[in-house]
Amino acid sequence: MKRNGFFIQQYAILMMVGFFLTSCTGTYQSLPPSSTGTTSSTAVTHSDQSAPAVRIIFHKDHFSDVDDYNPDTAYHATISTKKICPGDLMRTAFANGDDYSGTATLMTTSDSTDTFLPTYRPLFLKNVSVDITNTYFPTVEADRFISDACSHRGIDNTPIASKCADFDRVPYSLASLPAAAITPTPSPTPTTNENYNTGFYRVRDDWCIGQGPIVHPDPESTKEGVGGVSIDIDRTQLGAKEDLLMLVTYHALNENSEAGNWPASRAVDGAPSLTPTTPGTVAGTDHTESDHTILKVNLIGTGETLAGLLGVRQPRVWAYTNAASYPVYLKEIATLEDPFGSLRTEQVYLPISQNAFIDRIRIDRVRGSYHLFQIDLYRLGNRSE
Amino acid sequence: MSFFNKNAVHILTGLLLLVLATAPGCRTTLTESSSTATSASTASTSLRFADGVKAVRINTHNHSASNPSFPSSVTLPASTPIPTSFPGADGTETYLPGISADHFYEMNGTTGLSSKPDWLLDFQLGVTATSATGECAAFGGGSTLDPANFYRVAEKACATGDCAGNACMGTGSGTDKVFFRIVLDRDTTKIGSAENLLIQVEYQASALHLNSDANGLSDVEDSLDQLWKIHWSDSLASTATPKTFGMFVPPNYSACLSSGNGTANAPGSCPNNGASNSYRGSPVKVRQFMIPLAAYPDMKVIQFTRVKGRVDQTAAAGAISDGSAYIDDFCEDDEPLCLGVVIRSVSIMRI
Repeated sequence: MKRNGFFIQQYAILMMVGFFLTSCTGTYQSLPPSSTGTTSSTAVTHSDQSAPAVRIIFHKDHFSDVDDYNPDTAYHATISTKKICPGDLMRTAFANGDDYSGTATLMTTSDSTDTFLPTYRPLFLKNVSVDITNTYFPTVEADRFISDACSHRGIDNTPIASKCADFDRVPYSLASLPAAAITPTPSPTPTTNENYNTGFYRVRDDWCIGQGPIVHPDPESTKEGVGGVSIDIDRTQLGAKEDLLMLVTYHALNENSEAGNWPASRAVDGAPSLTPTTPGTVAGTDHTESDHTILKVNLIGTGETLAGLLGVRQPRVWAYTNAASYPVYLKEIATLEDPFGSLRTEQVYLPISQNAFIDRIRIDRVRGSYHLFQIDLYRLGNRSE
Repeated sequence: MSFFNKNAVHILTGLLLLVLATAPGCRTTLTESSSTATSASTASTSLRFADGVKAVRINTHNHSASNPSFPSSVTLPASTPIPTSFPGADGTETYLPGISADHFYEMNGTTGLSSKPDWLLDFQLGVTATSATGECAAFGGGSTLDPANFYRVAEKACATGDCAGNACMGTGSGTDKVFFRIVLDRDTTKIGSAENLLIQVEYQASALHLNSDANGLSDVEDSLDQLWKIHWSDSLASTATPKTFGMFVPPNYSACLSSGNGTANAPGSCPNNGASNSYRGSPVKVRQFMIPLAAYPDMKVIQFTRVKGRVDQTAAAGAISDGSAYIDDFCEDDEPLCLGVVIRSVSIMRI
């Protein structure tokens, strides 16, 4: 028995080593740190990096998305970027400027050689990432997109790309992309006309079956968990006793918002009036009471560097479900839930000074559909005596 | 277990720890830094925490009610030079003041303070008339859907009279007409550089629709029944550019149409919605707004601004979702509880 126990111990250690190496080599892409990135030793090189607050506008023009990697030379003759994953923040705005509905004041471009023209960001902001389920076009041959490296294309037991969590826009390129060169042709074939073309980050609950990290026979359960936001912060750039204030401007989509806000007659190219097949929905409406949006804010420790964060495959939430590796230090400090289905701004106080290892603000989508317009982060001053 | 095997385990464990500790790009150990200054105002010459009165409550009704903060008789404000001590004063710049509060209370709302806290230069309400009758922003007249003496904004009247021509649309500036405004003295002996504000607003927000009636972003705000935002600035001068902080309204807490954007009610039936005739607008809500003063030493004017409403749009855009009915069909001029905002109190706390 002792001998068996010893072997079990050895195997356990070997498995841990194997798991560790796999988790690094399997999801970590060998990227150089972004010029906008931060490390614990980063010093201010541009005045914008000292901004005491930041405005993040969740529009495709401010993030990278799958269309940015379109290989069609009519759109991108050459792509030169340090980013490979859709869903990463590229452009950051000043909080003391206009908001998402107007002309926000962007921080200075940090790298004009990068196709995405990333801007500086405050040093305390390491990265912002949204879960993206639309990471590749299934009808296009693999490796035609440079972002394929951080998608799950071709990996067993992973769902096909979906527009469950994506920027709300009509993919402008699909019709002109190379014809499918894979067999069999994926099903369902992605369509072009199922968006409202606002350009903002949008999660459509009824398109999320199988996209979440939960494996379960009930399709409703498999929709949960995906479609959130991770804001990674560099604690070395903040005071030990300093907290943050977060403002989230979003629009929960439910039966109160559907009829007026997102009517089929006003959608781009006639999308979707929906005759939903999703259990619990009501014919003729896109967003129903059963899909009432629930978002929860958790404060987590990942301990990851910027390079590590950028290399994780999308949808990123899949990589962070292990609570032992990524502990939730302050759980569910706020719920964003709006039965009125209206546009609104919610404030969330982030007591990060409670724990020095908190380095991620995570907005988890439990369920429901929503548009996310803007998140502001403000430093609240160093309270150290 | 043999000696060799024990050592093998130890070596293997050590290797594992070494790999974990040194592997690039995977995990790093965080340590807390020494305190980092947030802004220039945290220089050694400034105070991070100040003494003095920590909180004040303003009851946003006039002297016709108990424990008022505002006078009964007011003169309609006109453009005037910015007072010397106010942000943006340079002797020539003007602004449009509101009605200033003249009584201040402890947080219990009834115990009066002997004077205004020294860090609060002014608290103003933007009015468009001295009487509520048929007016956009005034103290309420006391009809069923117009709470007596409270500062209120009746949306239907916000595009006519003094508000005609979109005059009551706001941008957060010192020349706006409809707002409530907090003017601060940011001297660090009065508000420390590491202090922030918590503003607690007691109010009602009533609408026709719970949400916007819009087509995506491009006009999602244009088609709201009413839109208020929180702005801040370092100056009351008309030349200053206000900063947008966040949204105040929506959310609305009632919708006189029966199903959000529904059109089931006949024109004229709203807000007395249904046979019971019992509908009386939004319940009174209290929301807290934290204002991060510590982030910006020049955050001197905090203004809750009526930005725009459905009445400011063209007739077609002002139509509700059936495309044929208009606000006129549902609300009267003096009915902020049909469509509008009623402010009942504002509390300001240094935290």
